[in-house]
Order: sequence, then structure tokens, then C-alpha cells
Amino acid sequence: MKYVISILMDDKSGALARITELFTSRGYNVDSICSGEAENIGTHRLTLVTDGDDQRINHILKLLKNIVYIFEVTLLKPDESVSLELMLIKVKMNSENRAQIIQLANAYEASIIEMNGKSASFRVVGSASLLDGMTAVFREFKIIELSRTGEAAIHK
Amino acid sequence: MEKKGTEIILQALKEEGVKYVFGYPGGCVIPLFDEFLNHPEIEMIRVRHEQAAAHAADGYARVSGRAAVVIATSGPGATNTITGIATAALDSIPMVIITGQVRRKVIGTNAFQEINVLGISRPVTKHNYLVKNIANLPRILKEAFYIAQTGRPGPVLIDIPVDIQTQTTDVNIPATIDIPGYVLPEKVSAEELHQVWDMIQHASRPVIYAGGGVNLTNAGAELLEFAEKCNIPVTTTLLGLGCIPEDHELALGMLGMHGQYTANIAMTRTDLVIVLGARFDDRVTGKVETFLAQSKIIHVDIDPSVINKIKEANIGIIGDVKDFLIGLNKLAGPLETELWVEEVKKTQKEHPLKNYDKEPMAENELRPEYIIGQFSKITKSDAVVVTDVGQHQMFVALYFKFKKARSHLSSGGLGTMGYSLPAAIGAAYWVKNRRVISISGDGGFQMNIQELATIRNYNLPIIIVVFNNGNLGMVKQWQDFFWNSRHSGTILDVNPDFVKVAEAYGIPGFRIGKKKEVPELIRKALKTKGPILLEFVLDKDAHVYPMIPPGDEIKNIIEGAGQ
Repeated sequence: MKYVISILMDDKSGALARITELFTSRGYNVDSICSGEAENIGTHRLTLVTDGDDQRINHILKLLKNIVYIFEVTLLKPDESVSLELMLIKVKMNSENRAQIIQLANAYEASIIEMNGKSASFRVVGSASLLDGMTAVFREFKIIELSRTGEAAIHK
Repeated sequence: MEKKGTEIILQALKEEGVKYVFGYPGGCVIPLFDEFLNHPEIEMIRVRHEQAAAHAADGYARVSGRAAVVIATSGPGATNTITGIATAALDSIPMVIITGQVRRKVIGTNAFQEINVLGISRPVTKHNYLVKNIANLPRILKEAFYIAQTGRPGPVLIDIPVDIQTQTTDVNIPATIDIPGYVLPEKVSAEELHQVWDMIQHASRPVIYAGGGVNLTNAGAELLEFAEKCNIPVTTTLLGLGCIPEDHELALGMLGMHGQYTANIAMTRTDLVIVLGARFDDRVTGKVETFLAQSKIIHVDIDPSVINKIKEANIGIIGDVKDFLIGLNKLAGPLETELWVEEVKKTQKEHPLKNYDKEPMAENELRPEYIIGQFSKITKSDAVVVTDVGQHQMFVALYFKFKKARSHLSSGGLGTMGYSLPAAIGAAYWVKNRRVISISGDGGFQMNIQELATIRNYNLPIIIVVFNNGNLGMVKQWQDFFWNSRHSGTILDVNPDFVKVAEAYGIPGFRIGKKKEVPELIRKALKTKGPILLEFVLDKDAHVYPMIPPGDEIKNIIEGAGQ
């Protein structure tokens, strides 16, 4: 099962290393990490997505809270939070598939960043599963480059 | 007033009440070592290997309850401390490690003796710092001691570039601590205590399972008061030994893989276990699925991540064991447990530890159990025993009848061979009026044998005991039991003459191979003012009993021959 963990921490070096250390040393997967400045100056909020079961997650939450630089660790429940991710995707395009690609991109409310005779680059914001879906659909064409930020999440 | 980095470090040590520092010099700590010459009130104990410095600090911390300080240089000096730091981390021992680092300008260039000690030490420290700006040094020093000694104690490392050591600042050591992310557990609430007492009152076969947390919080007296008031038997972990006198009528001794028969069997018959400052180590539980399957669990620990980690607790209390017991003792009263205690005592009588004092032995047969028993008897258990890891460690846990907390030092979690000798050095700096006895096997003794020089150097009155059976006994025992006696790697064909080695270091040494010589030599050692080495030449094939095979259920306990 997928879990979204929100971590509020001091903006000090070593904090992120301890978080990733905690996961790698136990062989747990990190699906995505997204981090940046938080509401108070000098603090960072990190949204981390992982999988596992309730028991493992509860243990991880306690271990995270034990890290000296972490103020707050919250497990975000889907119905109480909103999470979004940015994806940048560049696909190979020619005159034959141009209309189809643009139509599909519109369906995902993706906006065009750059387009020329050979390729098109889109920016799309949505849930991780929406972006997964779009990626799968666009694999029908040739994806030249793909980059995702990982989910950022807050309480509703 | 502007102060140098090294002056600030020494000032911080003084403010923290540090009297001894264990260290080894090197290029990137020359300024810091130099500063010690200006401060004779803090003694720099120069060991012979950085690993030993960490173990010595660990030993000092275990007997004193105070964070001790390690100083090592950059690169190999720092990496050598890692085993010692990990040993402390696994057993929740407070420690502050100061490592020198190359100057800031060359960090990250693979400069001479440069290593990323922050990265290497991260998994084995509670917290660590690289000082990049001297203005932060005073705060970091203050925080390091605080973090190391509060909550669940542990090692904290500070990596200080050599150019910061000689730089100056007018920033002072702060008077107060402000670490917003580091929150200590609140006091155990009255409601929680009532809930606990209610569950205890409904139990008919309760057992207390006491771990290292009881000793770390000096809660032995409170534990005894509680156990006696309610008439509840107490079993301890390896690190819990000494929290209740082993000769107390409610003491069941150690539980677990090599624990006492009754302690283990009680865990299969109990209906409520009160776990105090322990963490359900696999050497205690054996097969987790069946361990305490029939019993309720009350689990008290200062570290929230320990609760429900291995076994789900019916009541989990996050807090200081001593505070918890003080609160609980106000509620506690007599329980109707006479029948249960009687049943436990009966088991104890029917399945005692084999008494090697009375066992007929051949002239040249020397049983380790007997030797430990004699040490316990002759010292009246009034000694600090520092073990290494292996068979002798378990023999000590079973046959030395500890009566006081902080008298048994052993690497329980990491199981570090080579721990005993240097840890005894640290202990010797705190312990007065009692002897420090370091016990190692011939394998572990050779892992930090160079510390004989430190012991001679400072003339420390340590009784150094080597149990020489010519093999790595515990691993060999596993090979005997589970690997068809195929002794791959475990036979130490060539050992030095340990008595001559001791003499080469200027320490008197004696070799004992006969039972009748044992008491006399122990008495002689106790009368010796300085260090002395006793080598006991033992049977090569002795096994530790009882034993629960690894990962197995308690009911499959092997009691051993003749029991």
C-alpha cells in the first residue's frame, strides 16, 4: 500500500541524509521525495511516498521523529490531504501523429512548453496516478525525456 | 573576548564535568591535543588504538552514567573509532566523539587522511555534526552533550576541521539548549499508571522482564521495591544484570538464548509481562511468533520506536523507567501471586544451574563456570566485571552473581570482540574501592591486546583474565551443534604465550591449569596493587548451557549434560 508522509524539519545539512539513510538501511523503498521551504523561515517540508504495511509505517514514523532535526512527522490520509506532482515530458513528434499527441495532451490538461517539427515538450500537474497514466499512454510514442518532481502534499 | 576553537572545546568539557578524555593524536588534532597541556585538570588518557579510545569511553560511561569523551584524528583515526561508537549506539551508551577533520578548504578533495566521517558515522550515532563555522562550535558542543545524555542515550560525533580549532570567536557557549526537533517524552501520566496497575492487578502469573534501561536510569531500588511489594519474579536481559541482586528470592536471572531455565520457562507460563527498558532482542525472544503468545504485555521504554516494534504491547508507555516505577510504586500493593511464585521457585529447584563448586573434576580439568563462580564468591560479587563476547560472556552472565547495577559491562547489542580490555580501562578511571576484572577469550583478547601498554602506562589495577581454550568457543559451539562439528576458521592453532606477552608489557602474568590453584590465584590477584594477568587454560570442548537454538521456541531449550 502507498503511504504519503509529510515531514517538517530544520533546514540543516544532514537531515535529508538521515531520512534516506533510515530507509536504505532497512531496505525500504522510497517512491518519491519532494522537498522545499516550508511555512516558517528556516524550515523545510519534505513529502515522502513509500509503500509497506501499517505496522512498518508506524515504526518508520517513530524512527523519523527520532531524528534530531525533524519537528513533525504526519501520515497524510488521502481524504484529508491533497497531493500534486509536476511532470515534464518530451516526446518525439512528426506531422502524422501531431494532432493525436496534442489531443491527448489536452485531455491531461498538459500545457505546451516547446514544440517543433521533431518533438514536443509538455508540462503537466496532477496526482501521481494521473501522471503514471499519462506516461503509459505516451509510451505509445517515443518519450525522449521525462522528469517528475515527486508528490508535494498538504492537509486540505 | 575572542577564544580559540580548542579553548572553547576545553571550556565545554569542563562545564560538562569531564575529568578524563580518551584519545589518540594525529595531524588534524594537534591543536586540540596541545590545548590539553594548558588544562591539567582534564586528563588525556592516550590509548594505543582509536577503537580502544571509544571502548574506554564506553566503559567509563557504563560505570559512571556520564557521557565520556573520545578524541581521534581525521581519516583512519576516525574510522577506527566506528566499531566502538557502534558498540555504544547499540547499547544506548552516552558518548561524545570529537574527530579532527582536514581544513575546510580541502574537504572533498581526497586530501591526506580525509574521510567523510559524517557519512560513515551517521548510522551509528544518535546525531552528528560537521563544524563549518566557528560561531556554531559553542552551541554544537553544548547540544552534543545534551543529546548524548538525554532520552535514549547514545553517541554524538562532532567533526571539527583543523583550521577551526585554531580560529577564534567571541561567541560563548550558550546557557540554555534550544533544539526544537528534539523533544523528550513527557512524564508518565496518572491515567497511564492507573491503567497499568489495573492490568497488573488482574494478572495471576506476572513476570518483570528488566533490561538495560533499568540500569541506565539507576532504577534498581525502585524495581526492587515494586517487585517485593507485589511479589513478582524478575528476569533480566544481559544488559539488565545487576538491576536486582541475583541472590534475591524473586530473581530468576537472565533470560534468552543462554538464559536460565526457569527464567525462560516462566515466559511460557506467565499471563502478564512487564517489560522495563528492554527491546525484545532476538537473543531474548527466539521465535517471535511463539514468544509470549499467551501473555499480555506492558512495555515501558523511553524510545517510542521500540514499542510495538517486535511485539505488540497491550499497554505501551513512553517514558523514563525510573519515573514510571516511582509513580507505580505509589499505587502498588500486595498481589495474590504466592502460588505462582511457589511454582517458579519449584522449577528453579528442579532445574538449577549446574553447581561446578561441588562437581568432581579431574586434576587437570578446569571448567570456566567454576572459575567465574570462584571470582563471584571470593570478591563477594563486589567487583566490576567487563566481558568480551562469546562463551565466557555467557558464563559470566550465568555464574557471576551480580548484586549491583553498573557492575557488569558487556557489548550486548553489537557483540564486539575486543571490547573487554579497553572498556576495563575506562571503568578503572571511575571505579574506586572495587576491582575491575576484564575477562576475554583468547580470540577477543588479541583484538585489542595492544591496550596492555595503556594499562601499564597508567598503572591501572585491572585484573586481566584470559580464558584460553585455543578456539573461538561460541562459534565453535554453533558448529558443534548445527554444522556437524566442522570447525571452519574457529581453531586458533597458534596463540602467543599470554603470560610472556603480559611480562613483555611489564605486567605480571600467571597461567593456571588446575582447579585447586584457582581460589589462591584469585586472592593473590586481588591483593596485587597494579595490573595482573591470569591465563586459564581451559577444556577445548566446553559448551554453554542452557541453550535455546537460534530462532527456536523456548520449549526446545537444551539444558545440557547432567542437568
